[in-house]
Amino acid sequence: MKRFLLVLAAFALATAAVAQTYPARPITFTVPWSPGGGTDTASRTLAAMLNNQLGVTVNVVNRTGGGGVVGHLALAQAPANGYTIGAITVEITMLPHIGQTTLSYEDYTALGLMINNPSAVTVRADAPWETLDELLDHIRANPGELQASGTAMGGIWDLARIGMLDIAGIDPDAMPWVPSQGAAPAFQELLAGGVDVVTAALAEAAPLMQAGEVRVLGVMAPERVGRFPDIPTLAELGIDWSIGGWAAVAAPAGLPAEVRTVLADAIEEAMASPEFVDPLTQAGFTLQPMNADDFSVFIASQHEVNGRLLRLAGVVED
Amino acid sequence: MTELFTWPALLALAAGGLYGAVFGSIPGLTATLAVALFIPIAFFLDPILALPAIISISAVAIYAGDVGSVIAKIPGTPASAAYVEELHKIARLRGPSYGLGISAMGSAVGGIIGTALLIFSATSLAAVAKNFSSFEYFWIAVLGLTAGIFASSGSSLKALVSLLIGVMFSTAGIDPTLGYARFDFGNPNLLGGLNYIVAMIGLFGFSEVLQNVFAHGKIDTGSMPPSKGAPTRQFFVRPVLLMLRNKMLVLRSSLIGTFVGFLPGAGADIGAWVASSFEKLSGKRGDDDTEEDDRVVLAGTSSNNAAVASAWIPALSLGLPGDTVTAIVLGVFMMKGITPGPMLFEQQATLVWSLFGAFLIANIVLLPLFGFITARIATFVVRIPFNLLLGVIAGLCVVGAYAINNNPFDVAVMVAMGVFAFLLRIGGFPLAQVVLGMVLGPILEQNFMVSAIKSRWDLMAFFDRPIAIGLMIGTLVVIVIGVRIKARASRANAPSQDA
Repeated sequence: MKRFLLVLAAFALATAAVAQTYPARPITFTVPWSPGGGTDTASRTLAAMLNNQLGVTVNVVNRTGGGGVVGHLALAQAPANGYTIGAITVEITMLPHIGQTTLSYEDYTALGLMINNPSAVTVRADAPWETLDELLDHIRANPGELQASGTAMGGIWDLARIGMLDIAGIDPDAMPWVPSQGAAPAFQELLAGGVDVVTAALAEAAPLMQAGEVRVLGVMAPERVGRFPDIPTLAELGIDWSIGGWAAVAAPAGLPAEVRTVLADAIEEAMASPEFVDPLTQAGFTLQPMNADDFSVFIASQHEVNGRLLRLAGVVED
Repeated sequence: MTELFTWPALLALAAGGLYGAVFGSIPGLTATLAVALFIPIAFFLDPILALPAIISISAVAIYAGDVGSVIAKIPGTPASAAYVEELHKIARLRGPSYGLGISAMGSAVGGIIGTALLIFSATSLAAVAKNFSSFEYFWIAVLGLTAGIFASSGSSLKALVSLLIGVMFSTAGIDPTLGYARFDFGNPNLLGGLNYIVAMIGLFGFSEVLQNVFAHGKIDTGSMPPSKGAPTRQFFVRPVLLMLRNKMLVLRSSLIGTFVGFLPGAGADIGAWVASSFEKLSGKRGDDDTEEDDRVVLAGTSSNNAAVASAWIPALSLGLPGDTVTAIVLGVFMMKGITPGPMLFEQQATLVWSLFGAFLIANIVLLPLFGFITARIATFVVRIPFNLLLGVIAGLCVVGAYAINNNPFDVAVMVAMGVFAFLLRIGGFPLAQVVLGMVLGPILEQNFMVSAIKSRWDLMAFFDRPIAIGLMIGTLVVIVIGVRIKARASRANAPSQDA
């Protein structure tokens, strides 16, 4: 009996110690997009660093499908104990407005923003417009003549077009959207002369720009992008507008406060280190590290802005 | 190119080949996944090591997709689905060494021809690729589907039905252009549609298991014959002799593969389909012709490896990724500060020539080497009686389907596809056409919708562009030739059935 009590006491001590020292076992890191994409690359880089900082294995698991819904749902439904964290992306502030999921940003505990790739206004290298002003003047003078592409109807790069035209005081229908299955097919159409403007990510336009096939007239970022100091921001050109495809880290809603602190601190520290910043910057990503508190504010405002743009796009009925 | 002949570089090439062979052989693990999981390592490697490794991974993985076809009739990659029936039949009749020999030798020659075009005409071919807009892609999809109808050995009508079923499957999920959800039945797993690799594993692999369990006795369930003669003769000599007898076929298929492969978004899968359909259309050459299946496999396998090389053409000279693998390659370029474009060939001559060298080494040395090793292993595996292998195949199907998205729902899709394919087999409907429909359906739909929206629903725009008209005429030619050959074949068969 004495021995039994001893074992019991040891067990109780052990569990108490476990509760105090989160994390005590491996952490799963879900990614809602396929291996090789931007979200996956940033997630794997971060997971490798969390591995060292937290002292437990952080396993990256891709839960793809359903236009991102499957992976976002898997994370939201996981137990909120800190042993399942994952990437969430800009789609989580768009899909609920379209009614494709009942999920929203409120189903997550925000932990930090990793990357935010800004949209770029891209035209063919032989296009007549040298500046964004010339392009916008052409659209004003000939509404409906030019067409833009970059992703599906109502996708993030479509919202980039709508927001830019709206803030410039032009009806978004003056440059209608041709849907495409992502940025690469849109650039193929641009080169083949099928569309006139692509508003996809600067990172996707960069190789074509360097190859001399396209010209980037402006980037929809709050400030100039480090690797491309010659490309002006839209704000500098008089249009106060920035938008990007972002990827962030989150946990299910209701994460215990002490676990949130451990994770948020580790993530903030990891994202500030050169081992995270250097390879991702060199790979063409635009980093916008934000800690858990700032990101909570950011994601709520994204939810509002993207809802308004989707209504402007006509994808969502009022 | 001398940079390649250092121990680290050769080790990177060889290790990449081994890794590609493992990924390609296992159903559900694709060449793309192999390259994607390699990225974190590529970040820390010198590009002179990382890029050749990516080349050998993709070249060997596309070949190794045929290993599953030989052992269990499950194509390891979608590019192998086009000729899986023929390849499995050859392996059963003449031993796995010969079957994989055709695959490896055909792949090597196709890869070399694709590389030659990449070396000598990358810039001019890229200029052609630049002219392909959604109208041309629409007609390519039409041409591919039409070829699929006549490429079946049985009734064209049944092939058409299989094809339409595949196209219908491809319409599930979020509509690619306007973003509406279709046939999702409120299940978020269906929003992304049915994954064609998951479907392929069920259609070929799981239905084979069902067929053997429930239709026992109707087909041969014994083990394959051990290879006749020395394995080196089976693997190297006889396939090379076959290629020498069919020089024009190998050249033609490799060119088809190259031309389909360099179109961004088309790639190795469609290349293999078009080339092997072409061979199936030409059919038997006389009564003593016993090499019809061998030629179909040779055509498919040489064209899909030619496409692996030519997918690099738009990536290197335009900065436009042709497929997922080259999208990842462009990421490595960005990371290392290498600028793609016509100037790449002058500014980074050392790097470009190492890439070409890596392609040549991968195709001339690594493919035959790893091909021979996999063929030797396959020879031992197929000695196990087929009915004992069935449990392993069923297990591989489940693991493979799960591995694609780490989603248990896909396992259910795989099983449902397997049951459905079992019924199709009973009715004599071909299975490969279902996969073709699922691959080409979305390309057809997206490009139709994009073209229509772009031209503001002026459908005459489909007939405006010269290349588009050329592809349309090509489609008509395939229909005319296909109908005539099918009619001749049925006339030839009719009297023999009476006798």
